[in-house]
Amino acid sequence: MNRAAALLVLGLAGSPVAAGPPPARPLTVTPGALSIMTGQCNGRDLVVGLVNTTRKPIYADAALEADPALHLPRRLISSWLPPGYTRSVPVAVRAAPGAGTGTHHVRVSGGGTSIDVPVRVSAPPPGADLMRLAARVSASSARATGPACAAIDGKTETIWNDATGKRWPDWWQLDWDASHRVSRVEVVTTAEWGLRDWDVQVAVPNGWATVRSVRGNTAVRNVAIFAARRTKSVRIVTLAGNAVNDQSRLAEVVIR
Amino acid sequence: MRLPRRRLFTLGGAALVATLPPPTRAYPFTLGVASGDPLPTGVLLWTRLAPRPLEPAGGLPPVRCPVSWQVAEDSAFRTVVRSGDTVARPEYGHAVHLDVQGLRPGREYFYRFRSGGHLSPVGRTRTAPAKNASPASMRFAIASCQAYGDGYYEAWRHLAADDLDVVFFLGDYIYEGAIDSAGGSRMDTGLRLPDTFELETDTLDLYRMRYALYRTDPDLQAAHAAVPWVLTWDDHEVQDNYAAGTPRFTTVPAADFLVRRANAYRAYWENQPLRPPRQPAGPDMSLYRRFRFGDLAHAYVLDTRQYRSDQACGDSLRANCADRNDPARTLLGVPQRDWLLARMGRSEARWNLLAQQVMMAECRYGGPANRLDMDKWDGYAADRERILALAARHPGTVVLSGDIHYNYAADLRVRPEAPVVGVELVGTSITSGGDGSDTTPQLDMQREYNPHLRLANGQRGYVRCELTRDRLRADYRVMSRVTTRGGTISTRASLVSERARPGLVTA
Repeated sequence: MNRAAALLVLGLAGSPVAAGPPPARPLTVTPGALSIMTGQCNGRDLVVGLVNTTRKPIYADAALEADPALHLPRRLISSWLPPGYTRSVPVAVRAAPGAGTGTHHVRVSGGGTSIDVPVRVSAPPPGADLMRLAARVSASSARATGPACAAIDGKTETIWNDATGKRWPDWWQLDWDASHRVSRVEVVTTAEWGLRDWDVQVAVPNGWATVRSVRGNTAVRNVAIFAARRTKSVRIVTLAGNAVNDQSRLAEVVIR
Repeated sequence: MRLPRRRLFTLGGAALVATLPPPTRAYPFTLGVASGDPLPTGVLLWTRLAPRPLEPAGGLPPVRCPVSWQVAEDSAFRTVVRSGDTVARPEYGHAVHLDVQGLRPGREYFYRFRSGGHLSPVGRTRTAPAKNASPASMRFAIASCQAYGDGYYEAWRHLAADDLDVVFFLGDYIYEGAIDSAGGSRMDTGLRLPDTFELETDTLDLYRMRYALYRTDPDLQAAHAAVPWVLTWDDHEVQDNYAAGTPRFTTVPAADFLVRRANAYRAYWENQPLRPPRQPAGPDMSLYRRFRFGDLAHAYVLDTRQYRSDQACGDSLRANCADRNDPARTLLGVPQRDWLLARMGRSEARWNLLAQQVMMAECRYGGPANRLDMDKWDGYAADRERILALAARHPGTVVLSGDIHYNYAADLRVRPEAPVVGVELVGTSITSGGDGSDTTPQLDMQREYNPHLRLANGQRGYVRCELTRDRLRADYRVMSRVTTRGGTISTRASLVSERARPGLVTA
């Protein structure tokens, strides 16, 4: 048989992937519903499972759609699947700052049917910290395994990792829609190959002002305290690391 | 007046344009055209329809699209020698692979496609000389490693202007990692790549999109349209430093990695000018093959990734790694190695070219540790010795390599004190590693510890070669810069080697 003819368009399935025998349905999405806050780094993942329930290898597709208030980084998943195999693919679901709050929908479909996932979108609460209120987080470059958001996800085991070894400087930046008063930038880097030299900068009308220069750091955690400034952006310009391969590694940034 | 499609293609180029029906959709040839794997009477023609190339599926619905094609003896298409109709199928990402036969040996041809009322760019290709021909010379180039986010492809534009018979591309056509919205070091803020490109490629859709991004580059398109390519892959078409079924990070189960490899191989076949029999079966794809250029040269295109033993001693740079000499270890895998040795052993060509990925010559990294790289032939000493022992009995062995983003020229010996049996040309990257430099402390050290190296250079570019019956000439073409547009090209070094007395010397 021509392998192309084995291409399957997946049908509807609604149950999550469970431990034990392989699911009988060729498509799964977990969890069945999401709650997220607006903001580039406040999204959560859906995990789409493409399942080959047949006894032959197949190529399978899943199409994804979302309401305009939501952003998905991908609209199609295609994979080869050996018999009985499940390919699980995480897909980040995000809502931009200012996106409409309420319940919106993601649909994962194939074969004319679809799985509907309700996504409840809310704004960060008034008391949310400055990282949660970020409108945009960006970096000079990032590895696929080390995105810019990893530096404000509250987990030190995930890091922002630039993609240009031995090339300096690099930068990591957080922007708000409104200005905030900041006086403290805590940087958590890694125990091995951590950051050595960097500047903390805040946005000013004509560019950037350096509010603290850190040099010769070997600690995992470093706190920079400076005279309070009102600004819409904070940037960390990285200048050197403590390793021969010299990459920028930020585990967490906490701004107050 | 509407003319039948066949009638359209008998008209000259200008007439053809004038009589095209109105376009039925957006321009679909955004990824250019290509030809490859030239034979004496045929060549593989390629294109892929993608009116919105940075979208999944190229912006096309999952339906078959008709495509017409022509091959002519002249760029104006006054003398069309072959033509026909085919379809671009969604299950192959709307790629078109046309195995055109019935052409004349050693001839230049021009080709183009038409779909939805749009004409593709015109490509130029060239068939191989007849099997029994005795060409006086051939011109080819080797190139490799074109990380999109590391710079612009202007080296390809210069290569396209060279009068070449064939290009050997030696791997790392794409890279699997993240590319930001400005294209990394390109810093092209007008690019605005979707954040899909920040995901590491692992599924078929992501590999397809990565090829689409690369092929939107006009300089790369120019190089594909100018000359037939013969391609092989290295590691980044799947994942950095993978070995057969072993992924870079061993926390990934083998079964999961093979699914990724299947997706990567499928996208590779779809996006390159390779014949349909090369199409992968799941995670397996046979890519090693031979091309003949009369009795002047036979080119053996090798695959050093799919069948290799896992890297010795944990990979990377190692000193005193005894396992690398284990005769059971193999870089090529036994079937491919036996195939190569058998065909080289009975080759009657003046030259045998081994177009492959990783550096074959011993390369000591110097200093007190004086380490060797376990990802290269240094980590697979038994396979290397078998090939070089055969080369000692067959004059005219030239190894062509890529992978490491440096230019090297090396004399090859079975053992350090033994006579030179062949030569190796290691080509630098097109962009990978950024601007680069003429030399580095590491290169200085390598020159000191590797007296068989005739050149070591860290700039970007390609190697342009000319083979005559008795002599090889290699021009190392290097770019002044690649991270910004407007870099200039120059010849950093020109080396020659005589067939009867192998050994590289300055031209």
